[in-house]
Amino acid sequence: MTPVQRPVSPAERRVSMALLALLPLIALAVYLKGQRYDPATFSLDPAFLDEPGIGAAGLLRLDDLAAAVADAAWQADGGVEHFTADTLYEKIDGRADIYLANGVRTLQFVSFTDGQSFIDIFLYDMTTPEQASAMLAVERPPDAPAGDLGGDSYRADASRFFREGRYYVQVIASESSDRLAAVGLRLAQTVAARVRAGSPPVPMDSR
Amino acid sequence: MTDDTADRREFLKQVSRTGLALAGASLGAWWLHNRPTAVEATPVTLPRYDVLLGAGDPRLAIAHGTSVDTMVRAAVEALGGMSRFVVRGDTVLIKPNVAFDRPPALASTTHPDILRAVIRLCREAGARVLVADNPINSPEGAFHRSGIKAAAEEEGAVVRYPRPGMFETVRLGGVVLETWPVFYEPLREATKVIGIAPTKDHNLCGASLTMKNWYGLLGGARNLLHQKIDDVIADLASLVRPTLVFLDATRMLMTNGPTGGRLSDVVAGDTIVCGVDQVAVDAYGATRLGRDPQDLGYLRHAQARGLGALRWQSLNPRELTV
Repeated sequence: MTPVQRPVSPAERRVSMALLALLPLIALAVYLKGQRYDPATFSLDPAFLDEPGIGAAGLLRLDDLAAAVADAAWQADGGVEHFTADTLYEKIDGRADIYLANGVRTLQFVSFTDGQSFIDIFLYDMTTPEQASAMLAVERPPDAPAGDLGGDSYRADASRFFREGRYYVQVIASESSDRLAAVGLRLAQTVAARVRAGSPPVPMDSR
Repeated sequence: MTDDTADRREFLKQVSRTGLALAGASLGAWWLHNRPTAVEATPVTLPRYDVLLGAGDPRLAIAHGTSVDTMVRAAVEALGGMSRFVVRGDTVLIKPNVAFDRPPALASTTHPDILRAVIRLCREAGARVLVADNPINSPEGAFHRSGIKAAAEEEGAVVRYPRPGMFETVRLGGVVLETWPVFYEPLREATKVIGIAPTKDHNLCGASLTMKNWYGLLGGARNLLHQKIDDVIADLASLVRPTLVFLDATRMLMTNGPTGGRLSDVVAGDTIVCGVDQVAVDAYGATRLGRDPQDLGYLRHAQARGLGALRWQSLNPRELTV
C-alpha cells in the first residue's frame, strides 16, 4: 500500500513557524546574557591577542631580555605574566586604583634573578603617551635624578623608571648595587627598543 | 470523525506535551540559575586572643634605637615581658605582612629582622610558633623574596601557606563584612595571635599599619572591598582581637604605597611600637607617616565602634631609647 502524504494544515504550519521563530530569540537571549559576565570568572590573557592593532602582546620577550643581560647567571624567574585592567589588582592590589584612574589597559611582568638578587620589569600599557607620562609623574620622587633612557625617565638607585610611547616601564632592582644597576640598564634599554619597534596602535574605542 | 480531525487532535496533544515539557525545563533552569551549588556551612566565630590586663597595666610601648632585636625586647619588657602574654604550651600565630613579592629594602612587607626577634621571644616563653599570611602575589614567591620564609624557618617557626580547603566562612558582624572567607586553618591551631606590620603609605586608606595587616587573612574577592576600605579595616579590628601587635617603624614607606618600588620612598624611623590596642598603635604610626590620625577614616570608624584609643597619648605609653 502506498503511504498517503497527509497535507499540512494552516494551523500546524503556524505553530511550526512559531516554534522555529523561538530559536533565534533563544540565541539572542544567550548572546545578551553573555555580554554581562563576571570578569573575575574570566582572565583575558593578552598573550593570545597577538595581532597588530589589538593588543600589546609579546613586548616582553624572554629571549631578547636574556640576550641583553648576556650573563648565564641571570635567568628569568618564571614566565611573562599578563594582567588586564580587571585583573591588575592580582599583581599590585590596592595600588591598581591609581593606574586605573590613569587609563591602564594591561600589565606585563617578568622577573630576572641570579639566585640571590632579582630585577622585576613592569610594563604598563597606559593607552596614550600622555597618560603614561602622568603615571610616571605621579610616582616620581621630587628629587629623583634624570634617567639615562631619554627625557621621560629617572633613576632611583639601581632601579629605572621611564616612558616609551604609551608604555610606563619600571625596572626594579632588589637592592642598591652597581652590578644590579648595570644589569637593570641593559634590560631597560632592551625593553625600550622593543617597545619602539613593536608597539601596535591602540584601537580608537580604547582611548 | 475524519482522519484530518484525528490527526489534528493528535498533533495538538503532542505540541501541548512538548510545550509543557519545554516550559517545565525552562522554569527549572531559571530556578537553578545562579543558585549556590553547595550547602553553605555555618560561619565560624573567632575567639578573642587578647589577654586580660589590669587597669594600671601598660598597653603601649615605643622603643627607639638601631638594633631591632634590642628594641623589640625592650618594648615587650616595658609591657611586662612576653610571659605576660604567651605561656608555655601556647601555639602563637604570627601574622606578618607578606602581601607582595618585594625585597625587604622596599618596606612594603614586614622586615624579617623584626619577625626573628618576636619569634625568639615567643619560643623563649615556651610557645610553638606559626607564621602565616595570604599574599596578593604567589605565596611561595612572596614569602621567599620578602625573606620571611627564611627568617621564620631559621628561628624554628612553621610557615603555613594558604591552600584551598584552609579557608572557612567566618562571622565578622561588621558594618560591611557580615561574614567572609578567612584563611582559618592557622587561626584554628592558634591560642595566641600576634600581628607584625610595616609602616607604610596606602593610596586608598592613607596608611597601612597593624589593622590593615589583617586584610591578609581574607580570602575571596577581597579586591571588591577596596571601595569601602575604611569600614572594612575597622571590621577587621573587630574580627581579630590580637594578643599583641607590633608596628615596625625602623624604616617606613612614605609614599607610593602599598607596593612602593623605590628605595627613595623609604626613610629610616628607628622605632618599634608594641601594644595591645591596635587603634592606638596605628594612630601613633600615622603620625610617623606625617598624617593626622583624625584624617584616617578607618581610625575614626574604629574609635567610634569602641575598638581602641585614637588618642594614643591617653594610654600613657612607655617610651624609651635603647
